[in-house]
Amino acid sequence: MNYVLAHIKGHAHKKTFKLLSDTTLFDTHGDNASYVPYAPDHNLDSDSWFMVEEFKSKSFCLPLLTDESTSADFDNLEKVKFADINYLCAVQGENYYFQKVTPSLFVNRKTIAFGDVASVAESKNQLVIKDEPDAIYLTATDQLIFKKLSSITSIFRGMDLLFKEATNEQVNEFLTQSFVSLGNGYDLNKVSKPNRQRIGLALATLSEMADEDKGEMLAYIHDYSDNTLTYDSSSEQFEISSDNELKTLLYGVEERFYTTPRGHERRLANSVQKID
Amino acid sequence: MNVLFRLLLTFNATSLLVLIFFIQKGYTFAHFFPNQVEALKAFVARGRLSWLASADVPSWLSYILYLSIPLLLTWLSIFLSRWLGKDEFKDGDIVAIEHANNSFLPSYLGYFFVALSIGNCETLLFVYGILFVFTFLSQALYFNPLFLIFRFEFYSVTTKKGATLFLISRKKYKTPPDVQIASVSRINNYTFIERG
Repeated sequence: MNYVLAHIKGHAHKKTFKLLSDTTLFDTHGDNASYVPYAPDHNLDSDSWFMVEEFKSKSFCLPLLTDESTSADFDNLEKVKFADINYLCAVQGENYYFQKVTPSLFVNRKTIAFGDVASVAESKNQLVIKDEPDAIYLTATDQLIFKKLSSITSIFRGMDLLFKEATNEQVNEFLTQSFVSLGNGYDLNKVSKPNRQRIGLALATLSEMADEDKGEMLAYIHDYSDNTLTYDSSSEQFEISSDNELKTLLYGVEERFYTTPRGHERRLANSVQKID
Repeated sequence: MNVLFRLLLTFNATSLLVLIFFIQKGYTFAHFFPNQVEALKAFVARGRLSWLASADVPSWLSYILYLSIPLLLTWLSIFLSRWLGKDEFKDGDIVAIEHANNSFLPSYLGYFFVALSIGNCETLLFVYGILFVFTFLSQALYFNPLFLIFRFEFYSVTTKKGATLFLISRKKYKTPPDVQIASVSRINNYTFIERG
């Protein structure tokens, strides 16, 4: 039997309650969607979902998913607490569909209902259910799938820490790499948020790279960024004086430039996905 | 709605106290409505069944009439429970089960002895009022022996997570794996009833 749980805000000891029984809120999620391991800089196709695998073993997994509760274990949610709902969890079959509840989803306005004769319905507090849930936990494969990390970080507390942007120390570490020289007053404080996320990934790439490969990498970046980046071949340094230049350099470190094999068109992949 | 339903259940569970009091006092129908009963007798005397009018109406007829009220209301509460919220017990959800038919008998016998020692209607009103309020608030005490007449059994079940729940069902459960119920109605957070 499908049912809907509600998790409320606040410091109460008990936070998860049963809201509805025998109800299916969301369309059943089909298996035909494609899943992409979460990466902060990935631009998701509209029919794709981000996924986190082995979700039960993650620190931000909810007790609800691991402690084998049944619907009878949860008390009914009292009416006075409806406004405190933080998120909904629709248990449909063996999967869990999550929807974050924000104040804008509560509607309280007049509507015209069309029946035999149109009539004005004074709507009491209503909660809008979105067409698509914010996240789905697939029990069979132990995956959490979602489209936007920012909309579910308040459901799965601590999830953002895993994919956080680089700290000031890390940004500084990247900006002081031997192949970077800063110009035109560009410094740590001017690095944008997306670039901070890219730096987090680029540092990981650099740490796995052998030193002898770095020369090859610089040549590759120079080859593709002729018009956009200033390269000083004697000092083997790229001059970075704007956020956009930093972005190009970071794309280079991640090997996002390529040439199509048949058309020989030089391209930049602003979003990538591993095939194997 | 839910509160009304719980009031109905509380009334059903406690109404036997009033019944016992009436029996103890010998309050028949004629005691409460002497004029109506006389009028009925006079009406019957005019017809062909005039011999009935002179006969004394046995007291037990009144008592059966009284008993039929909580019986009917209990049936109504079972009928209404179809509109309660539903839950499901799947295989493995229940890890322990205990038959609880007997556990409520002592408290019920308590009701009876109280009813037998009540002296007048005023005392009854207060004692019943207090009992009603406590039964209503206790939430776990919707034990109603009249359910037994409708062939219901009482069970104490424990879920995998450790919650102990009160289950009312017509089925004869003995071991935890027996308890697999596709749809069970929730009377309150601790009490569930399986219809059918």
